[in-house]
Amino acid sequence: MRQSFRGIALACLAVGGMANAQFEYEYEPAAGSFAFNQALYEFYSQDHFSAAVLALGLEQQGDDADPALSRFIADNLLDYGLYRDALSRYRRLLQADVLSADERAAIWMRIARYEYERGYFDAALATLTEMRVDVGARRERTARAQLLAQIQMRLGEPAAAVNALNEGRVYGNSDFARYNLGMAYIADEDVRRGRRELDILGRQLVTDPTEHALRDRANLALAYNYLAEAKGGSARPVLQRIRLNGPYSDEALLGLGWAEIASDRADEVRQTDADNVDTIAGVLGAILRPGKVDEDLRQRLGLLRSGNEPETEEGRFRRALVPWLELESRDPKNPAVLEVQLAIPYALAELGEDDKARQFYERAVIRLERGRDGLDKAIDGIRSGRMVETMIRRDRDREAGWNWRLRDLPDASETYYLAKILSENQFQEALKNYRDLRQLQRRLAFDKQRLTDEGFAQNRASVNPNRLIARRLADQPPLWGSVPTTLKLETQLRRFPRNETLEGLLAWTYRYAPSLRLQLEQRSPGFAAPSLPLEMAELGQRIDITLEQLGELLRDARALLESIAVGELERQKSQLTRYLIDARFALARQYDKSQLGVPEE
Amino acid sequence: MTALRAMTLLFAIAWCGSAAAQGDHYAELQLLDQRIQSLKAQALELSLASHAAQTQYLYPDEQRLRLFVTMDVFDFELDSVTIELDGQTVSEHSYTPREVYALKRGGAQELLLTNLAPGSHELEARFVGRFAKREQDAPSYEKAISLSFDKTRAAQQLELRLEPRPRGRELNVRVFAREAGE
Repeated sequence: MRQSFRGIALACLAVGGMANAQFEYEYEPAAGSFAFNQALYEFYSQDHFSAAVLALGLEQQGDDADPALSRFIADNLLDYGLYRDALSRYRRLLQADVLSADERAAIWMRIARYEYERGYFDAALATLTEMRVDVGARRERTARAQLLAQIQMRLGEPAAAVNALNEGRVYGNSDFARYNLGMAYIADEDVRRGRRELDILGRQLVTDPTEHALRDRANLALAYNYLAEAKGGSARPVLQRIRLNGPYSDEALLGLGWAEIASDRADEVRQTDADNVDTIAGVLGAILRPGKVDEDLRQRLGLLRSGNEPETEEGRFRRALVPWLELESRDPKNPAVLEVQLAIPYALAELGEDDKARQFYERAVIRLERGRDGLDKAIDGIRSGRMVETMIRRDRDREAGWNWRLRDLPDASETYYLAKILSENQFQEALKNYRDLRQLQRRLAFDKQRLTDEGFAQNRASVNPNRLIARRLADQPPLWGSVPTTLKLETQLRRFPRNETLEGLLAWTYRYAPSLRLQLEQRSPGFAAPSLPLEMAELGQRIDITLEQLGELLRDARALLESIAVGELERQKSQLTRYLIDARFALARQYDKSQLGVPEE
Repeated sequence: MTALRAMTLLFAIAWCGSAAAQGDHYAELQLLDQRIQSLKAQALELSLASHAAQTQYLYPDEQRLRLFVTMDVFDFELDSVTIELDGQTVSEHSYTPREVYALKRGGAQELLLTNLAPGSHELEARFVGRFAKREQDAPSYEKAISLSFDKTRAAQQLELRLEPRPRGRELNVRVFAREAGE
């Protein structure tokens, strides 16, 4: 079973926004240029390397520089990750003033997005600054402002990001921009304004799955911001807006429990009228009504009293257990599910339910230990080199380059733990580079095979051999045609041994046959095996050198990917170990507590 | 108060977990990216030279035949094509949705590059696909053509273009001879 990549992609959207949306550019088949249409096929098939090779070949044949062809080449070079070469072409095109304002704006944004995603933040900032003076910039105003703000946030300049997003009220045109504005205000310590933007976004009526995910994300960010100040009363209604089965529901359920416990403090947030059955508020409300949902869960909540709870600390702990018990049975690889393994027995202990608390702590220790073993196995899996190869297995021959996206996660244990990091630009870009190298390695090896003696002979003989032989024989002069008619075997070959014994015949053959064979070869050079032209042999040698360099780069690229992934897993393991230590200490306390009531023998 | 203390502790852990900057590998990524770009540029140059050399030496003008597929029909999902030359299967291709899209956007797919002796030859092409988009259960539609052509002593390019028929869900295949530099 493949793990859905939707959640990751959505998480990425909320952080990256437009930066991850590929700009769709289009080319029309050039009228009358059949050769260009071949490159076009490669382009639309996302084989950008082949498209670039074909288009460069066309450019070499052409007399005049064609700006449209040059743009096509530059686009394919960039898509293949040849940033430097693409940039120099784009610069020439931008300076030559041969493009429309739309085209110029699109080029500026493509350059800046590439720079941002590959981590060239200063270069991206410079590109967007330069873009500003171009009239085309107005057409991409919202996208430009968002990307600028993301870079400024990444560079630790939230005030500049706020200015970028406020300029011309771009946040009014895009929900992503509004989300980023809210986060930028909070990072700039203008918490009140930040909360306001996130609250507006979190209360929107939405239908589209992407908008829904963004709304959930805004609510989660806002609620956790309240919880950081222990304002559970404000966080609770915000968390209840989040969908129970959305990508952020685990974190929301965890936070909701803490919000219940700290519900005595509140801010000014209202609960939206837009809540419905698929939100946490709707579903948890139903759980509390007898006979509605999941009897098993109700039984596990048997210690809870139904109805309105008084605003006591005990009541708050009991209400906290509702979302936590819902979360407890979910995928234990999620950090929120791991944390709740400790939160539940903690709340039970506070309620004086020591036996139940001890049972939950024991179960938590088992689960956390199992989780740590799983992480160890995943780390081993990564170090064995299996992970990276599995990830790029899909579409392995496609040359999409920078355009390629990891669409879903392979069914390997390590990838379950890596959902967050896989959505980050640095991992995605490193993975694309690795994939490009593997693809290039196959392509060069294929070229090399055709440039060897064997490959050359095989490919030249691709014509039907029967026809080739028939034609060659038709063109061939008679085999003995050029042999002087005066040739007499008896004279030339000296006393051909008629009526000789077998030994004598063989001795004669060994002595004279070699010279006869040599003579025949010289007279029919057309039958000799074709030899590899020098130009091709040299190319083959250059490919060998490139393949050697490529092997070295592949090792380094894989090492980088593994180092990012292992780093993330080690971080998770260290967090899990902390939980495990807490659980064991708490369990020991529970045992001590239970021993206090037992009389000594 | 106990509760709030515990909450702070646990949240500190969770918050650090989610907000802590992952090890930033951008510097390493960029160094590697620079090296990879140089190698890609080198490979591109090699590929151009190799493409030209192979055309010159492996497929000399006198024998070179290229066969292309194009599409001028938008409600047809091409699944596969099979080409036979003089009774022998020389090319079979199964299409991905992306490749079909590329054909519909006006791309010309080079399906076959081979050497063929000048003279008369028989070509058969079989196209298989479906008319309804994204409906795997839609009935399969097959269109086959057969033609004789003369391979000249110059490099030759043939385009097989799928076109809709004026009535009903049927296809035509038209064959065009294309000049090498066209």
